[in-house]
Amino acid sequence: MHIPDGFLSPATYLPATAVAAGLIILALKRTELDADRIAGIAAISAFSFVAMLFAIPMPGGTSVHLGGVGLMAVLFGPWTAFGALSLVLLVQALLFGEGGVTAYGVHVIAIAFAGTLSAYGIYHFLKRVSESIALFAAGWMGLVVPAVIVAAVLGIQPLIAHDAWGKPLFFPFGLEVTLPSIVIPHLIAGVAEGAVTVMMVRFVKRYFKGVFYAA
Amino acid sequence: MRLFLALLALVSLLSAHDLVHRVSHSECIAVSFAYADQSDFSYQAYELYAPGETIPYQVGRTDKTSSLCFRPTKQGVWTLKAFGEDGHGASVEITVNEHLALSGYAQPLYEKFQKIFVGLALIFALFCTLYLYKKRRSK
Repeated sequence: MHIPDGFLSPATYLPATAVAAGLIILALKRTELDADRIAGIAAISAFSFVAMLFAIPMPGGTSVHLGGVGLMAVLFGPWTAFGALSLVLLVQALLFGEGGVTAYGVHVIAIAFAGTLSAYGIYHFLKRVSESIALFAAGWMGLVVPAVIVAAVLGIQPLIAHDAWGKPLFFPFGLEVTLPSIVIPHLIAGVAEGAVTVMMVRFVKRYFKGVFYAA
Repeated sequence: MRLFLALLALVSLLSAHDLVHRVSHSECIAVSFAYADQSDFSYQAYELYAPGETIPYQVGRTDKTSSLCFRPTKQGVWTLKAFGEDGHGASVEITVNEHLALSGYAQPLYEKFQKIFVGLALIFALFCTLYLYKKRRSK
């Protein structure tokens, strides 16, 4: 899901970086971080970082990785989760080449913002029905929604950045390729992400009650 | 005539022991060693084993740049053992494909996991700083 440098046109990554910067400033203003919860947030951020590093090979030559997006959204609330994931993505981009620096804005919007928001939203919508279903759906959405956005952003590159003869200047494949090749594997991997989210949230709620988001 | 034939036979015998050579530029696999602190591993002994073989395919010492080269002759996993005189060493598994080209090698554990360790250390350090900042502000 991490887009390398050189895949996105400036027409994509410049506005995305501006939007991401705005969201991060907003998150800093809206997050009221209690010092006693920071250790818990650090631990789950570390889990998310490690989960994102292990790519699972999928049929068709692509690979997916878990992200812990739903887990963070449920445990810490959307804004804190957004801030923590933005930090994880920044460390990955700046130091480890996991996702390009120019693609950071897109990653923040897709993974940290849309991922946490959709996961948190579906969790609150479904938790009256069943806590387990709500947690599973949060994990699944936290992986699938960013995958759809990343696939869409990559797939529109040939439309917005091409030369006079129509040859793509950046990522060469259109939506008809990116959507099935990125989204379908993530629909399957979302099942694992959902299961991990259910288990991890139950574990944290049982043994580390003070850590999770009270609202 | 008999003397001529005898000389001819002698010449042919001599040429059988002549060492001919050919210089070519073909597909070789190069392996470089270094200690974790990047200090060199030059002129150290090594043994290279072809897949399924117990007799070394190649033995020698690493060159000045701590490297060695070999030209694989069959597909499979080649095992390279390097021995430092100070007792350190490494065993590297190198996978050669059907085109006799490199298709992969086992990374050392340090290299494999250093990204995780460094990343985790950095994330915890950042949150630690944040914790100290919050604690100081709350006082």
